[in-house]
Amino acid sequence: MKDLDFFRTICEAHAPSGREDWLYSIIEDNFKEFGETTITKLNNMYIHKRGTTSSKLMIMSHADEVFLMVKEISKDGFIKFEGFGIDAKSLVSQEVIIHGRENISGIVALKYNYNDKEKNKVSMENLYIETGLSRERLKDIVGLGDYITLDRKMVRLLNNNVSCKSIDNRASIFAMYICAEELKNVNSDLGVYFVCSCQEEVGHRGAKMVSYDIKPDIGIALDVTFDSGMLGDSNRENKLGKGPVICIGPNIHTKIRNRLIQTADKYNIPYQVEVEPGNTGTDAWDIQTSVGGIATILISIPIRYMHTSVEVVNLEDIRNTGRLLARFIQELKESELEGLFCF
Amino acid sequence: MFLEKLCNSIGPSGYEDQIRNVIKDELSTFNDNILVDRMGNIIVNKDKQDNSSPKIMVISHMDEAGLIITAYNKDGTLKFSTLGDIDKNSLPCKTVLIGNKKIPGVIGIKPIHVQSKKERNEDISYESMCIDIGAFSEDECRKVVSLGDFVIFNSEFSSFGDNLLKGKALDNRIGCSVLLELLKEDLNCNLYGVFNVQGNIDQRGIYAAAYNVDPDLVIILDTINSIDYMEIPSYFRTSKLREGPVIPFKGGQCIFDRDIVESIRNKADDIGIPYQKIGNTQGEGELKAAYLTTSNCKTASILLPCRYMNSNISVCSLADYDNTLILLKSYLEDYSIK
Repeated sequence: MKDLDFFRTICEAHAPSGREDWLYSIIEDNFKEFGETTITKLNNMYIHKRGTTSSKLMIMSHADEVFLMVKEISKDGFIKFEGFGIDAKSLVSQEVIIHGRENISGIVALKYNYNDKEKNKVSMENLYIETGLSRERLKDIVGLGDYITLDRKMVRLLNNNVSCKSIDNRASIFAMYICAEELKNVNSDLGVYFVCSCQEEVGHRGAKMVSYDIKPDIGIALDVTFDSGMLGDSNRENKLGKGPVICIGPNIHTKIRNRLIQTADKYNIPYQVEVEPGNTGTDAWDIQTSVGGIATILISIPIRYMHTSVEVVNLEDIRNTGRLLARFIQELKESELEGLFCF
Repeated sequence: MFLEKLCNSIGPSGYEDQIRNVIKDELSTFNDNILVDRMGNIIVNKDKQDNSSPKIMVISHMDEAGLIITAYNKDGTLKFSTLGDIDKNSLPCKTVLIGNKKIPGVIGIKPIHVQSKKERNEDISYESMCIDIGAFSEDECRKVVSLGDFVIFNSEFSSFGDNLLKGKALDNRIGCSVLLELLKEDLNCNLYGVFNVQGNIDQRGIYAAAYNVDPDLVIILDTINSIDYMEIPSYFRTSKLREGPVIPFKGGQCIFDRDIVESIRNKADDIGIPYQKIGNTQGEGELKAAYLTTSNCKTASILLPCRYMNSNISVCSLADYDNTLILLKSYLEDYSIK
């Protein structure tokens, strides 16, 4: 399966916040047939597929992943680090890649304390990375502030579920890819911008930049959300394999959201609903208030074990997200827009 | 190197079938005197002296740290416990293979975003982890995985850093690899090579093997946790990576034969092999079995330093490996001449 290879490649690739460009040659290779590619100064990337009118729809998936950063090289040649979005408990004995002058592999070690078992508590302060290199060699290759990312090969599980690092949010990039494939021979009214945004994990910063660049009429943020399993979020009803999750709340434009649900019902595409009473914690939050207000919706793909190296996602959920988007875009007429935007 | 195949093979304590076959197949390429006892230990005899000289048993456990499935959760995930001594802090977010069918799974934990303040400050517990095979329901999971199925880590063996190795099961496949190479040599002695089971749960395989062989000298070939890193005060540093095998006087509850230990150390000095002297190996209590059962014979142990022993990924030194092999070879030749 060619498209699964694409998904595997982007998940296993490394793109911490700020270095989304490390991903972009792979994305460009796979998306260039769909439209014109632009990469902005701060590492946002968009692929523009022209529509028959001047109205614009933007689909945005953030490209960055959670990461660690080199803070200090210890006397005995170990790396101390700072974490961004990663639970210290998920790191012990984890294999990582340190992006220094060259990429080297490392293992996260827990500081051992014979004296006092209490001090064995897992916290960022008690974690170090071993590289198997002497301090001198390490200092030649690695400097303070260098990025560190998780190292994981994708694993296939039952029921078309797969596990890897960075499924947050490469699953959404893959959904955009499915959508673009579906739209290949479609001339939609609205022009479509497929956006890979930067720096979501450190405060959805790319979303604003791109919104002002493109000034879209409709903004659709794609991200991942929590499932409701035993170790998920019990305040939701999301289940893996039950389809994309459509968000409801003040961050979401009601009429556009209802229009999307109409499309899903019409084409029998499964979907789920989740409620976010406030900040959705996604790019949608920043798109909505940009450029004097953008009609924004959020579609999420449910995953398990978010921000770990073993995030689990269902491939059918991703495919259905792509299909739903494609059908929505295909059907949406420019003439409808005024009615949709009118309060 | 053959060690790669040994490390990537499957065999947690009590479920050593696959690794036993891998070792047996390798042994059978050069030796036909192979016996498997009732507990599952492999015993190989290589006698160059027509049974006239003392029996030397070199023993190396072949099992690895693993997990075991204990119950099903309602959402289709699994509960588990450990087989052997594993620091549970090292368990979250690893990929695993379940049972002989090698069903892939991952060890999940609650995302940091949805952990309560209390959960964030708590240590990891078995209740806060699960193994996920992607099943959508408990019923589906029951059809694929059985209670008591063993679980091993899905980590690939590879070289690491500066002349080091990383992989799962280096404890004690590295010892098995040294022993295999030793058995390939034509040493002028009455050598019994034993690959024992259940090394990680109190070295239970040794009881049976020692009874069956009835040796005059036992040398235990194993790994030792190398805690030589990260601001650890020197008096807690049990062993250092890259500084040669550890030859202790005492290991856990096992007091070794002082003469033998000293003769091995002298041999190392003679041929210029670095080694580490340790009075006592703290927390390595599993060596007791050999001492208790074979108290009629002399016992010593040679231990290879290993970082992050008993976790999904551990690290050993190639130089330590080579030095251990050279030292043992040279010592055994010498021992039988005496």
